[in-house]
Amino acid sequence: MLFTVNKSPFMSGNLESCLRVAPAGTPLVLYEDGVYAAAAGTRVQGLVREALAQHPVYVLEADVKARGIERLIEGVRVIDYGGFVELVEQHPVVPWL
Amino acid sequence: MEAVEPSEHGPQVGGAGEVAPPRKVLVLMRKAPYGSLYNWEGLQTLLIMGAYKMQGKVDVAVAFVDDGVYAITQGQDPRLLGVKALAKTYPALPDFEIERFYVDEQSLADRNLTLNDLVIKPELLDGAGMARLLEQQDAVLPF
Repeated sequence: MLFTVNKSPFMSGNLESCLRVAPAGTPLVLYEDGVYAAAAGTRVQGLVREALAQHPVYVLEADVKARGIERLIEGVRVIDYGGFVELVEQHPVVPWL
Repeated sequence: MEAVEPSEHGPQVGGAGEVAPPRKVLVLMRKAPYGSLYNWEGLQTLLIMGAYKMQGKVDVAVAFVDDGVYAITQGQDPRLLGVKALAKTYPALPDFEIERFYVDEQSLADRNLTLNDLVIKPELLDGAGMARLLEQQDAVLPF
């Protein structure tokens, strides 16, 4: 399974609820406003660090660049659209919209 | 504060000879720039409001709260998304007579941002300051 979150963690509880139920080891892709969760030093950094202990966490490069996020939490992996497609091919997707 | 049509400073009808004071309008930005169209629409509204400001009909201010602060961060490069960098428009707003900008201190702190990370230099307000600002308005337009 592959979980995807596209909402800002500051304006929605989607990331938190996704992490509550996502089985350990399943990858998580943050895209669109979801990528704000991966910015270093924010109020939700603790939540993402806990997630990193349980899951591979990816962010979509195009969305990170668009939003001008310069520093990501250590351990978060950046993927391009091709990388996103590869992950989708390898796992059944659970979009946590 | 009333949401839409306060009568106090409403448009004058007929030739009483009095000039109505400008209505105080706050454009309230609370959404991030690329995940939805709200921010873009807020910007369009500001550009239009600038014309009314020039006629002395409105007194326009802009406040950035919650994810709205992301609208004015530096370094945005949305080329891969195929859209324009919205943040570039804000520094040009004074040319349209939109000159009063405010930002919520807590919203910046929550996102590990400071005034130095922004493309404009808004006035920093705490919760009480934001409450006072809202209280002064005849209308608040949320985006």
